[in-house]
Amino acid sequence: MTAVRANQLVHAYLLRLEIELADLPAAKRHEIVDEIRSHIAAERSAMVDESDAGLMNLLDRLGDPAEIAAEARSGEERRLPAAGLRRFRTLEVLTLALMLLAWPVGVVLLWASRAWSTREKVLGTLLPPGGYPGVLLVMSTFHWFVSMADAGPKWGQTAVGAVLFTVSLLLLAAPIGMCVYLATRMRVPSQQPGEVRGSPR
Amino acid sequence: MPIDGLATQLRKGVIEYCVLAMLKEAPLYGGEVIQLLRTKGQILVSEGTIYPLLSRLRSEGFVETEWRDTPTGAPRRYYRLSRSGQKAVADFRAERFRFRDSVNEIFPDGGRQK
Repeated sequence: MTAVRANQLVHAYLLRLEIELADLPAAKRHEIVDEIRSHIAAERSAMVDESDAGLMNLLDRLGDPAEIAAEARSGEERRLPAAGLRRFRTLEVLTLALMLLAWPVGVVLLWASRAWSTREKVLGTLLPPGGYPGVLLVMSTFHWFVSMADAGPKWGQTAVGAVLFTVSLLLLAAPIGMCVYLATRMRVPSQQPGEVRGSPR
Repeated sequence: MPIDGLATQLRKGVIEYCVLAMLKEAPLYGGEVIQLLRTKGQILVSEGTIYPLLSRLRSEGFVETEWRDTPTGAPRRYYRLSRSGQKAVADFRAERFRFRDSVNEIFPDGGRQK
C-alpha cells in the first residue's frame, strides 16, 4: 500500500471518530481522538511491513467509531446529574434574586421551577406581591394617609404614624424574609454521580 | 438462544475494574492496557473503547496520568492507579467473591455445561 492510501484510511477513520464524538465537550473529544491517533501511529510503526490488510485489521480491532463514541457518551451521562445539579442551583438563585428586583419575571421562574411545592409558590407569590417595586408602590400610598392624618387631631397623627412605621418595617422585611424562606425550602436533586449505575465506587 | 448482548452486559460492569487491577501492578499507557487485555481472551471487543474508558476513570479520579518520553516516538500518556482507584480495586475484589458464590449457588455445576 502506498503511504498516501494508508494515511487516507487513518485520516478517514479519525474524521469519523471526530464526527461521532461531536456532541462531547471539546477537551474530552480531543483527549480521545489524540490518544487513538497516537495509538494508531505506534501500532503502525511496530508493523514490519505495513499492508492494506494490516492497517484495516488495526482499525477493525479499534472498533467502529460509533462504538467508541457510545462508550465515551456513557461516561458523560454518568456525570450529568452533577452538572444538572449545578445548573439547577444557579437557576433557583436567579429566581430568588428576580423575585426581589424584577418580580414578574421572578414569579414566572418560581412557578416554572420544580424546586418548590405549590403551597410555597403561592406563599412566595402573595407575600408580598410585587417584590421591592411593589413594596415601594404601597409605601408611596402611605403619603396619602399621612396627609389625611395631618388634617385630623394630634393623637390621630401619632397613631397613624406609629401604624405606618410598623407596617413599613414589615413590608421592607417581607421580600427578604420570603426569599430566605424559599431558599431553605428549596429541593435540589440528591442524586450523586457515584450513585449512578455501574461506576466504580 | 443467548440473551441479546449477554457478553456485552457481563463485560460492562467488570472491564473498568480489570483495567484498574492491571494498573495496580504498574503504570501503563493505553496501548499496553489493550495488549494485556488482548491476552485475556474476550474481555475487550473494540479496543478503541479503552480510551474513553481510561478518560472516564481519570475524570472520576480513579487513575492519574503523566506524560513520559519514549526513546523513539512522541511522549505517551501513562495511567497510574490513584488512592481511590486502589480502594475501588479492593472493594471489587471483596464483592466479586460474594457475587461469584451467589451465582455458583444458583448454578451448582459452577456454570459449566456438562
